[in-house]
Amino acid sequence: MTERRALPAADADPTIAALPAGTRALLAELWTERAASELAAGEAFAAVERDLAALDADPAVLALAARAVADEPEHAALCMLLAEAYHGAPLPLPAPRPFQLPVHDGADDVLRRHLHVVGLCCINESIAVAFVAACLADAAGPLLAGVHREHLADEIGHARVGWAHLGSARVDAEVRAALIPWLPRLLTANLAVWHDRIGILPEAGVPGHALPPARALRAATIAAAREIIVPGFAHVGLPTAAAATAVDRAAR
Amino acid sequence: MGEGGMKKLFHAVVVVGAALTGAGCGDDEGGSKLDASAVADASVSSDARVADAAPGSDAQPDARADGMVIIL
Repeated sequence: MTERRALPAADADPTIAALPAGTRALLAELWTERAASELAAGEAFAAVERDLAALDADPAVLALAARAVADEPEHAALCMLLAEAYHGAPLPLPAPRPFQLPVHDGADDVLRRHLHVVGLCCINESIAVAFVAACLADAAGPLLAGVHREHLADEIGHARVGWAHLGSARVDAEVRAALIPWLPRLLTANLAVWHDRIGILPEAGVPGHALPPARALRAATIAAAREIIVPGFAHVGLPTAAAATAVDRAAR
Repeated sequence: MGEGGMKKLFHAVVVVGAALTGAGCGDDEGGSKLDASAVADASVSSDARVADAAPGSDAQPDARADGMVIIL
C-alpha cells in the first residue's frame, strides 16, 4: 500500500454531475460490483499470503503480500466512494464476490502454491496494472483520476509480489522446471477470465469516466501479457516461447 | 498504452519486483528504483491508449480450473 493522498470531494467532480441519470446508475452499479471484486481479491491475497508462508517465501515477498491483503479492502472503499458519487447517495457495501483459488489439477500441493502466486500476482495483477492504466488515461474528472492513481500504484505493488517471488532463491531449479509447462495454461485461463468480465462492460465504454471501449480494454490485457508478463518470465530466467504462443492465440 | 508507457510499467512491475529478492539490478533505468506512485502519476499524462486487438477470446476448457478473478 502506498501512502494515501487526499482525494477530491465526491460532489466536487463536475464530470459526474454532467452525466445522464441512466449512465450514472450504470456506473454506480459497476463500481459496486467492483467493490465486491476487490473484497474477493483481498480474500485471494490472504490465501496466497498463506501459500507464501507455507513455502517459506523470502521475507520481502511476505511483506509485500501482507500489504496487498490490507490494500484490497481499501480498494473496495474507493470503489464505493465512486459508486456513491455516481449514485448521489450512500450505498451499502456489497458482500465479497464468491472466490476460490484455482485447483490446478495435476499439480502437487507445493507446486499448486507456487502456481497460485504466479497466477494471481505475476499474471492477474500485471494485467490489472495495464487495465487500470488504460482506465486512468480515460479518467477526466479529478475524483476518478485520483482513485485510479491510487489503485494503479497499489496494483504495481501487488504484481511485484509474484515477480519478487520468482526472482527469489526460494524458487529453485526444480520448481522452475515444474512451473514451465503451466505458464501458457495460466496465461490462457487468466486472459479468458478477463475477457469474459470485460464482455459485460458497455462495448463503447463511457468516455471520460475511466471506462474505455471494451476493445481497448481487451487490447490492454493482451499488451500486458505481451509486454510485461512474457518478458517478465524471460527476466527471471523462464522460457517464453509457449507462453508467447498462448498470448497470440488469446489475441485472435 | 503507448509503447513507452508499457515499457515503464514492465520496469516498475517486473524489474523492480524481481530485484527485491535478487534477480537483476532493479535500477537500470535512471539510476533509481521506480516508485509505484510516481509511475501512477506519470500515467495520468501518458498516452495510454492501447492498440486495437482482434475482438473475442480463446477460452479453454481449463479456464475455470486455472484462472483467477480479478478486479472487475
